[in-house]
Amino acid sequence: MKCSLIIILLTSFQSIAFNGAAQELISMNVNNKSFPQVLKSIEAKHSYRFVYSDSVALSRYKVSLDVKDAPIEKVMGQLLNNTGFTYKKVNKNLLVIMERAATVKAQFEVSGTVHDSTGSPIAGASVLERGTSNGTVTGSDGSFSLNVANKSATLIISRVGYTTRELAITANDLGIIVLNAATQQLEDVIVIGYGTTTRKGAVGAVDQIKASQFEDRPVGNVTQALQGAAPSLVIQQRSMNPNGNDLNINIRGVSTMNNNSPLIVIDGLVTDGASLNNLNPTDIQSVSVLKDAGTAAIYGSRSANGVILVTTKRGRKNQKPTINVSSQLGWQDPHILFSPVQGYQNATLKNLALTNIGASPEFTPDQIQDLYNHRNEEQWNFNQILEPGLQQTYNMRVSGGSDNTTYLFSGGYYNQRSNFVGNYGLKRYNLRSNITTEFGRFKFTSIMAYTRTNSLNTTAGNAIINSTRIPPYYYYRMQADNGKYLVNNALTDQNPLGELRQGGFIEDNNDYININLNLDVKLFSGLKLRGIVGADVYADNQFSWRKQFPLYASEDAVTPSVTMNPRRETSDYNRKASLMNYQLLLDYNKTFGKHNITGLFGGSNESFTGRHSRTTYWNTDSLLGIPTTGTVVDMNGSNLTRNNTTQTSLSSLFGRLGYVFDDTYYAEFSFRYDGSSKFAKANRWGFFPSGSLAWRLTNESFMKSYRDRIGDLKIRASYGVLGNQNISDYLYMTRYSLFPNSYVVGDSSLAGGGFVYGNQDLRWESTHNSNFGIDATFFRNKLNVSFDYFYKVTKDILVKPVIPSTFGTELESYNVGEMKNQGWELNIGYAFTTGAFSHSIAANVGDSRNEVTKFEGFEQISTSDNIDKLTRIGVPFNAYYGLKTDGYFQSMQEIETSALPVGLSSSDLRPGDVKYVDRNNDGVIDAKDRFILGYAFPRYNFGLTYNVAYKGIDFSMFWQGVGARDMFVRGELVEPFHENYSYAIYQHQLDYWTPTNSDARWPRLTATGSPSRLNNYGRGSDLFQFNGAYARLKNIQLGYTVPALLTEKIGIQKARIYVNAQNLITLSRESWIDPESSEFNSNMSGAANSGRNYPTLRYYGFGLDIQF
Amino acid sequence: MKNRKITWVIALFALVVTFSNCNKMDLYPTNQYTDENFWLSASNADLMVNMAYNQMYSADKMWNDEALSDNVFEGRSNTNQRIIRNGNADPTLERFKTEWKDAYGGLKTCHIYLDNVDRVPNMPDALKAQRKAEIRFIRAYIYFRLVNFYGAVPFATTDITLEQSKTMPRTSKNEILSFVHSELDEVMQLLPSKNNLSGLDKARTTKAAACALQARAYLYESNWAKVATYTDSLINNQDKFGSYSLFPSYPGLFTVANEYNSEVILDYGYLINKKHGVSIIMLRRLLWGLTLMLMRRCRDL
Repeated sequence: MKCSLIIILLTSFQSIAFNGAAQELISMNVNNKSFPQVLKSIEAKHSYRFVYSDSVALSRYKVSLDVKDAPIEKVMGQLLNNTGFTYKKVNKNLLVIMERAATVKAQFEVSGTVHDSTGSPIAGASVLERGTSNGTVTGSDGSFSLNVANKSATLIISRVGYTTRELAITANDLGIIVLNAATQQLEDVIVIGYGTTTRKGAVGAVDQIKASQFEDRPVGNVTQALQGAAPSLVIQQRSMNPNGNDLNINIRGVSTMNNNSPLIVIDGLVTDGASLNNLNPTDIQSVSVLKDAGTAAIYGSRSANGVILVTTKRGRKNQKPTINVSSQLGWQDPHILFSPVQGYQNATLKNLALTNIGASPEFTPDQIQDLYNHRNEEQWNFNQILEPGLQQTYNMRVSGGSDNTTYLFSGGYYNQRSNFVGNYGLKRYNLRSNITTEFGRFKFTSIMAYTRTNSLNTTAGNAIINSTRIPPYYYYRMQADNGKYLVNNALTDQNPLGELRQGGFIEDNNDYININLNLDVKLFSGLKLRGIVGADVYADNQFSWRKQFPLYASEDAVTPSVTMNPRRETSDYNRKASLMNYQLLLDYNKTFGKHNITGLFGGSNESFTGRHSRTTYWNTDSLLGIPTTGTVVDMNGSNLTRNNTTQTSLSSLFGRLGYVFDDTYYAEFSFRYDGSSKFAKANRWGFFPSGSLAWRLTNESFMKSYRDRIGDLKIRASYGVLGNQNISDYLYMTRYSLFPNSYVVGDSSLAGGGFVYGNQDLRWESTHNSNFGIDATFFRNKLNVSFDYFYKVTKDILVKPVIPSTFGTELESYNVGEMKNQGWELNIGYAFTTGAFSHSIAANVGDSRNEVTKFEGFEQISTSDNIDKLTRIGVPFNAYYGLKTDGYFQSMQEIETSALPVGLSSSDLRPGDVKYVDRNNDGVIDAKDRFILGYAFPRYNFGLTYNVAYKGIDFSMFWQGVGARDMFVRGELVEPFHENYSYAIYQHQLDYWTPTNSDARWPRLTATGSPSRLNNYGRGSDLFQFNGAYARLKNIQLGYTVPALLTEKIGIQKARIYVNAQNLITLSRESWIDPESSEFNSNMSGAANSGRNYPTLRYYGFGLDIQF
Repeated sequence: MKNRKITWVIALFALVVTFSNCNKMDLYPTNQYTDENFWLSASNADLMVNMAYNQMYSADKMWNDEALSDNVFEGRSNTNQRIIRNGNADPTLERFKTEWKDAYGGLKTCHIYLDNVDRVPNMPDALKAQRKAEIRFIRAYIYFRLVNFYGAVPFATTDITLEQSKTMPRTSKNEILSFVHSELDEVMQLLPSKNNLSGLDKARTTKAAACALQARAYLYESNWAKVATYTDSLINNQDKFGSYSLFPSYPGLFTVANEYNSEVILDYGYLINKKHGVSIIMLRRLLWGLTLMLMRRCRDL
């Protein structure tokens, strides 16, 4: 008989189960129930946990129990009476049940120590002799010893959160036995909306990301940490600038034409999206991603884009104080992906571009020779403004607990220097205290967190653009030897280096306080009442100062030729905001025999108030930055809090009803009824229901042999309606705004009144969301696979409609759009051991594809810099739209016989110019010849983590990438000698067309102002389109845990050192641009990407984790 | 019994939700008026009149109109104006859209004003009559510009709904011009004479402006007789229309010192722009052409 072991250990700090007073007494009245069922009922209500063999012998027993306020010993005595089993109390709450006879038979003693893959001892792991109930549990140092029947016995070693291991006995001392962390164990507690469940019991589509997936990675914030961690979670880091991380977050792609941001919930409180990055990543215990209606509908009106639930760490009961200290130190090395050609080459090619269009060359042979002679003195300006940036992280955490109180205090410091020269960067300070205490029927939880973010940013917004487009001619220097900042005939009025060093700064100083108070009252058996008060308080200040400084024409010039920042502008910005949150919840959980019923009913209100103001002065004192003689107030740059006050309120009633029969059939219904201040009274309230069903096939008797041989199998389905109200405030009201300076009389300017049309009919967007999923485990839970398919239809999308301008004003939002979005996700986890090596692989991949199904006016084309984006019925939202190129003209004859753009004749063009596809065959190339060219939303997003451990050494690597994405790039990096600033050509552009290089990548070189130029680059075409697929080695890490024997002598429980690196390898089709850069934000809106972004950063560093 | 319990629980929760609100459900912006409180004062109503003046014309329009001719050439970029001048424009050109949009935006302001000004309590009748006449002048001016650019266009004399805007047919240019003429004739009687305006009211439109615009409108239709009639009337009835005369210096017309000089019938104000810490006088006045020069030429015809 195979004996599979089930451990029912719910990690207590995540469990919502009510924990009674110190000496828990049991009251229970059951009649003729199976033994495991009775144990489960005890576990559901008390902190006692049982470990037992799932042998037929034990399950067979039907027992009855009638006790009132009885101690556990008495209960166990009654239960085990006449069963042939006995029990052993391992600690206060953990009991092991075993066969009475087994202990007698034992003859052979084995011992060993159980460790995790990082080398830390695992306490409380169960060690069982296979085929018997003979077992024990490891001590705090992970060691065990057990008497077994004979030498050929096999041990089964297991622990919640780890993959179970079977081990043949080879010696008396088995040494160190490594258990791998399970990627997705069935009993793992999963945080869901207003409660928890287990992987086994999860009815909806939810991904849980554990802290171990991002711990020890040198990430700047939580969003970066989550990239690649779950298949549905698409995170794009568009810029690596520490002072301006542009991060897109999408769950399951794009489902609406306006806000696609997921709802963020931290410790049960809905919060502003920005708060996520205020958290210290090391404070996080787990992150749940709610994807389908079944799990998200409880958040109703705002859950259409999915929900991210963050749970912070807590202390554990009966745990002695533990101190964790960790630190990381490393360098962010700027990695520029494109590079200029040498100066003489640049000049030669510029001449070629000019002569190609019949103009005279710009450089004489002597000048080019001069550039050639000085080629070794060349410096590229972009290199001059960058430097490696130090990144440091220090964290300390103290946690522990007594019988009825747990505590955790943590503090963290994060400092990332900017890669721009001149002391810019970001610092973040985190403090946290999470305390729970129980007294009688009450359980009180208090969470308080404080975050201070200090950012010092440059005012030189064009530093990258201005330093990249100037060729590296040796005489184009930004700074003379005597320190003067210089201008030249290419960059006539700015100087990136000077601006970075002397041009002032933008200093942000932001406070964030999060308070979360939570009181549970146990009303009667299975029913709890919980009240929550939460507050998010923000206080932000920004001081910016544009300092005046001179630029000179040459080293010897006495008078400056340009004065930078002549206005000497100083500006002060202050913001205060608060989000208040009140909740009252009734929570019910009761098991009757094989039936388990859970219920939840609650009400909540969230009120947001934000206000900010700005004061801007011109001509301030040049050293102090404060008003002085001649200072004026810039009225356009100044405003009052009354100008910038927003208030919203959202009141809700919500509930959930769950029913489970015998861990086999699951049904769940949930609803939310939301009222939002953003809508007029008549349309204010929205009802968002959902239903889910699941069937665990492997619990059926006919599947028993499948379960024993292969693993678990569950199918689930859900359907529901979710909402979205993420639009501006007050839109339903007709409003009148004041516009100062509308009309001038003499020296006075009069204000005007502007009219904003209010649409009373505004109502909730609704997303109809279907989900179908399968969870399966193989090789006895070693391999976990889960697959989900979803189909979403969003109706009444609030979108700014295209209306006749004859109406005279624009509408901000209107319920006029409809979209569908479908996709799938696959999650795979596999853990295995080869010899002393233990491996684990976690892989995920997901895809989504949307399509506009209804749009007022059929289509809308938006254009920025010749790049057209199309919203059209039947096509994904904001698709790239433009002409298709048909290679390059190879002969004059081909030009004469081909369709050409409007206004151009064949004599205007030459071989090597771009040829376009005449889609409608009308002999001219115009707007009617445009094709749908590509889609910018990333598809086939994947993440892959591989961990391997050998004794104390551990290694991990994490790959993340995108399988398919189109990206448009405009400007210098595509177009050599680009319009207006026609100075430079880069190395990746050298494969241009010439008569002898006729299968070139790029068209022939031309100078600006020519018809060829207009033909080649003047219209949006697939010449600007590139493949944005990539795979990136986001993180690679090698660690070593010092043997506990050594560290314990100096009072250290665990010490681990490691080295790590980020972004070492990127596999992509275009070497010259970061494939993560994009013009689109998470709502698919944005102008155009010129690729001149903050450089890609490679991180090299090391870290230290110590636990006392 | 059980039902009553459930009702009690729901009531309790509803109560908690209602009373725990930090913010009410009916919230109003702090930086904007709503339809409920905007039309409660004459000074608010005047803000809409100011906006109508703003939308009637602009400095950009002056430069961009000139750039359609060879009077102004912008060197740096390929502007819409240059594309039009070179004959390369197609219907997707931005300026074709913005001219249309700006015009109907101005018309909206005029119609919103006309439709709502009677809601203003305690506004003196004389003031109301004058403001309405000013708005009707602006409306006539915008329609005049619109038909000159586009010919037949959608036409309405009250505010239109969103639905109407989608189905409105075009009205012929002649029909709209005859509306413009009759409006100008009427407001000519209602508007004040320049001689009766002082202070901030100097920038407002007058009898003379209506008369001059009427003359210009007929001029564009080559109706010389009417042009002569209106210009003569303006020149010869200065007691009624206000006193105007030619200003001795042509460049002097545009300087700050000669603001509202005797030749100005209606002009568009421009304020000194303080830029880069140094006062650069951009162009103090952008005269939009309804000057006595027009009258002089017409009389000479």
